[in-house]
Amino acid sequence: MKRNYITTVILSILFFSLACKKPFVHDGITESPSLLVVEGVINTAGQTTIYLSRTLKLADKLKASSETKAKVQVEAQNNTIFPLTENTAGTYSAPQMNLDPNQKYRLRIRTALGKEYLSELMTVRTTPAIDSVNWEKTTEGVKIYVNAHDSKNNTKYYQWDYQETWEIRSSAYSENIYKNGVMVARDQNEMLALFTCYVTEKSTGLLIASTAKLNSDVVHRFPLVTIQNRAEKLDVRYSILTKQYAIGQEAFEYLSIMKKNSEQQGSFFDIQPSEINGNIKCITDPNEMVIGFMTISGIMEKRIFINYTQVPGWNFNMNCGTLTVPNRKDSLDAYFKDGKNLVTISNLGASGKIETYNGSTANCLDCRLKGSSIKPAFW
Amino acid sequence: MKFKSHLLVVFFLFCVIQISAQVKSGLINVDFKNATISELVVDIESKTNYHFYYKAAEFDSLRVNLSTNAVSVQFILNKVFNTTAFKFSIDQQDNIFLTKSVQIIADLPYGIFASERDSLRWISQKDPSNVAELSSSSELVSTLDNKIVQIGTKTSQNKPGNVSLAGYLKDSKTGEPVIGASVFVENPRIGTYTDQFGYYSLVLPKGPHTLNIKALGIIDTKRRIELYSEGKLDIEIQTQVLSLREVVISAENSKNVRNVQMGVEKLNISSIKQVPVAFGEADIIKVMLTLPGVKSVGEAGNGFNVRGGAVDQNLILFDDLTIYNPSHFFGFFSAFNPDVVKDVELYKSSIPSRFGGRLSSVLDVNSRDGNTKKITGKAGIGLLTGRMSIEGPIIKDKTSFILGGRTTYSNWLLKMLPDDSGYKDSKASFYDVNLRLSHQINEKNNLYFTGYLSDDNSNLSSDTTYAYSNKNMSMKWKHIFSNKLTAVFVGGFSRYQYDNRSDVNPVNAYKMAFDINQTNGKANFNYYLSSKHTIDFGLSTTRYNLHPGSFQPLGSKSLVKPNALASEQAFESAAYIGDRFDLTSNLSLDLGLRYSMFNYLGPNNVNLYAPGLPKESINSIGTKSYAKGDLIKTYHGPELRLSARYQITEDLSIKTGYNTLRQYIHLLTNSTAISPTDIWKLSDPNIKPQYGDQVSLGLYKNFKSNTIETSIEGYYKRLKDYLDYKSGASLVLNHHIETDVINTKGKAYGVEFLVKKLSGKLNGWVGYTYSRTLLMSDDPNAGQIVNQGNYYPANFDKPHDFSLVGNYRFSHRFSASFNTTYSTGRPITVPVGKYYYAGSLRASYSGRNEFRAPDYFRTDFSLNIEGNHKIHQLTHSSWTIGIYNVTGRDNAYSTYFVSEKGVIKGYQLSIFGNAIPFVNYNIRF
Repeated sequence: MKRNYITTVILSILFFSLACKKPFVHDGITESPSLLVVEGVINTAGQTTIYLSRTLKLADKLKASSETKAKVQVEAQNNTIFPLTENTAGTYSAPQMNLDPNQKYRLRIRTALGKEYLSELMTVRTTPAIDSVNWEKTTEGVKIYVNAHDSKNNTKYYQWDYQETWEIRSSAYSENIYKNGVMVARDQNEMLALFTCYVTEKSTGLLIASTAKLNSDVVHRFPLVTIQNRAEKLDVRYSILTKQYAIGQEAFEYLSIMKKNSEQQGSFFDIQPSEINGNIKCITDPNEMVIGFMTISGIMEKRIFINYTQVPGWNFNMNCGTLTVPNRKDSLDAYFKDGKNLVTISNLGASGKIETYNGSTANCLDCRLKGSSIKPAFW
Repeated sequence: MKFKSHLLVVFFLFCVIQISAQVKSGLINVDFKNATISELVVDIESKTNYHFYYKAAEFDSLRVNLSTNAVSVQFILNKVFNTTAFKFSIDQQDNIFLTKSVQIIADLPYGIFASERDSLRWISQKDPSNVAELSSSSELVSTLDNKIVQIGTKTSQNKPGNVSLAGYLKDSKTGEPVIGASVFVENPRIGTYTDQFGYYSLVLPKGPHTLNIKALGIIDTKRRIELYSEGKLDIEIQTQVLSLREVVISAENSKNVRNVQMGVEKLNISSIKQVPVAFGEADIIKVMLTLPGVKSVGEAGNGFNVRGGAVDQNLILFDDLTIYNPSHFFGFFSAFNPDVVKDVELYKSSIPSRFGGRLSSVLDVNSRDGNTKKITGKAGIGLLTGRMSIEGPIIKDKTSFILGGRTTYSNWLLKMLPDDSGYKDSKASFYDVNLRLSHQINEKNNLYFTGYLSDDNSNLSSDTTYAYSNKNMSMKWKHIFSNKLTAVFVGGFSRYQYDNRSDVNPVNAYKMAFDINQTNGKANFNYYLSSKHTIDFGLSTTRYNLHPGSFQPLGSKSLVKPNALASEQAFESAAYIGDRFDLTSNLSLDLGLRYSMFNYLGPNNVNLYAPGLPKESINSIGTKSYAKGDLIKTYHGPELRLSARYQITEDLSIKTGYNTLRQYIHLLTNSTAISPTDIWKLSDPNIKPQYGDQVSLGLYKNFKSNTIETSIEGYYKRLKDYLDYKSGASLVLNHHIETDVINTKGKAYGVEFLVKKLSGKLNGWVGYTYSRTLLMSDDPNAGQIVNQGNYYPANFDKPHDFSLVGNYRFSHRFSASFNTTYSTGRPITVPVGKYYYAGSLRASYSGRNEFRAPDYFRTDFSLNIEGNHKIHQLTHSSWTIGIYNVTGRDNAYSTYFVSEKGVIKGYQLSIFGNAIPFVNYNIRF
């Protein structure tokens, strides 16, 4: 036993000291160009949404800077024009366009500052339907996969994104509310709204796959997401909407590099990060790089649900304690005035009067802090 | 000891006294009955003026029975020793020397003084009793310093003139050839070095000479010869016992100043073994990295960069076999077993015309010949690896073998790691085996066989298993046509292959394979034309057969579509000639010319592109098919190898050189370090050969009678058609690789300073290099231009590079070694901006290699402890303990940036982020 221990120690020294990583901050970067970033798919199967933004300096606190007030349009070879309109800042959309599969199309962007950008001519791709989205309980958690195929062997390159929605529950109903120094019963609707909410999140990774190396155009169990064990996502009910669209080989290669640059670094044999041009060019300044790759494709969707009953023993725990606060103004003020704690129920004493109030943190009792209390239409 | 000092005194006397072959007569009577040597000596000394010198122990078994009347002492001694192995000699001072087997020469041979040189006396100078004569028909083996060896046939007409003398230098204990030893006479100053077989050839004036022999690790020796005509002289010399030795390498040092070639670094294995390395096992490649002008991208770097050259521009030869992947386990260990390696020579600048095919350097690793006298062995174990070698004669003094093997046992140890270590599923297994056979057919013919096999099968906490191996075999025949002309014929076969597999997802399970096979033949001739010219010429040819990649399904569920690139075949041939020409005693030239030719052969399909347009898929205009044996493309051209040395004083010289080289085979790699999935590619109609030239200038000065060696070398190098890659190029299984490469132009320049002290208690070297390596894509057909066509630093461009390697020997049993390295951080591409895409914040990057990683600094320390030095024990053992990266600095090997939860985070990856202790136990038997 002792020998075993020594071996483990020695080897741990040897192997833990291998390949250790630590944060790295480079201080030599002073200037960075502000490049246009174009994201989105021209959808032949529904609404098209394209998001325009600018690259930021690394030190900038902003998450993104949207490119507003630009003119965005899809142009056909035969000069038919489909304009997109800006709804929210930087987001430009158009209802379903009737694109002719025999035509080629391109995207033109004219910014408020007068710079003009143009994509290469693109063919209209057809996306096969999603065969299935299935899941499996493993030791790590619940893994969700997508399966697809193209019997015509044409698609070869796939991209997905998804939107997860899950229902969450507060640890208890907040039946009372301490407002302006007075404890009153909470409105019934509000009480319910605080108790049941829905959280929606979009995917954060580039999900792409190629079947070009396979004999047939089959995507088998492409991993979309893993729900870690005991995560809140599966406390009640969970749903994932998977969107699939066919992309071209160039788009696949472009996105692979983007993925490698930002998601896959850190092994011994990493490929050096590098920037390359996509299929959009700045025509007013040919040296200016544009980030993003435009594709025309039909977006196929599939939604599945997973209920907590399907994963027995999930055991999500919010770790909420119970406060018991005496029914005195000073105590109630101390605990409930600032809104960090909310009130659940009152407790009567032997005399029949309310002696104490129970409470817990707002996080435990108001699910609206994490999601929306409006039930989605598909739920 | 006493005996020895007597001998020395005697020897000294001979040099000053005048010679007479006469012996004093004084007739005496003796009567010995079972007398011991001391009784004999006492008796004779009491009756005459003679005085005896002898070593009593050698004569303890001698019993004398002799009774005489009025005879000379000479007669008595003749009678006594006639039938025994004992010899006697009597000098003019009435001293009698008794020896066993070897006779002391009590006189200088006649003719040593100019006044004695008349032909009549020359003939009469025949008395064999005073000279150990060896007939010229049999092989001469000279083992003693103070014996005069007559070489050639004495004739009455000994005309003055030059004749050649040649032979082998061998270790008297093991029979191993002594390589790179200098053999020279002082006046006139003529000298040479023994070649890789220990062979030397000199052209000397007839008459008496003192041959001086100096080399690394041997005791400086002299041989006195009398040269009558062309002859042979094999010399057996004593090497210094490794563990007792003071590391004297003075001859090598003077080589630094006197050799015409520049930019040559030679290290023998004992110097290499002193340098502390991670995991404690002597590592040739890692030690090479401490020399100026040699760099690598980092610790897991497979291979090395010489003077701004890429990793694939180094020709790595192991006994004339090309080694394509010189490392184990992703570069952590080098693939050479230190116990079978004799020495390593790195040519950075003046590459001899006999080598070719790579642009930057030649790393020539020589293995040892087995012991021809007795069976011995070595073994060593460390924390992760174990090794063993055994050597000995098959036919004593004729045929020997050395067999070495190495393996790691970290594989089963890795399994013992706890589940959460992250390395639980890692696998590391590798081994290598070496076999070398040497056989002397006769004095004119020698055969050498080398077999080498290395194999790796590892993964490092990843899904993919990397398996690769080198398999090599060569046969070498050295033939001596005459003293002046020798030849070496080599036939060899080298194979490198890899086979990577992944079976995590059964539908996508694959096996990816690559192999390169090379068969080569070479005939090399050395012609010692005169004392001024040594000519080296020959022919070589290599046949390549490559399978550039195949991708196969693994398992029955796999849907992977088999994909394979067509095999490639080619011949690379060269003819070369080089002349080492001593213009004056100070000025020497080395003029070499090599003409190389490359033939790319069918069967194959070649992609054709529209002329003048970028080589991109859209400009493809079809393919052309070639049948088996069709000549698809030929490239050829001359290569110059010129160097000159001017010796200003005995220990100061200046050298210059100009080299041009061509390379027809390329390693396709665009990762930071060379990875085990990188493939080799032959030049074809779309991939031009690389071309490089280098001009260099150096100043060499030795101090303290050649014990301290200093040099400054500067160089400027140009590279043409060097391969760099388009951003995001895919190199594996690419059916049109030419669309992903960019022909790049490169320039590299630098100054290298080196101070070396290889003798004394404190020895080691200090090197500093300032160098730059810059690349530029200037290919109009590239389509994509890196960094707007401006010069950008290569991945291994590290301008400042300092290293210090030191060893201090406290006693014969303890020594401490120290190694410290500093260099500028290597170029990296870092994010300069950020943006939001696909739900995540991502980084936008700077131009290629615009920034630098933090500087690199590392110090290692080790202690060598030898066991006791009693010569008669079964085994000799030693311990090496040490710490790699003493300061624990986590040098950045690479940096990378990821978006984590919407924030861009920079990380640096260190390979050895801590101090790593190691221990090794070595044993010799």
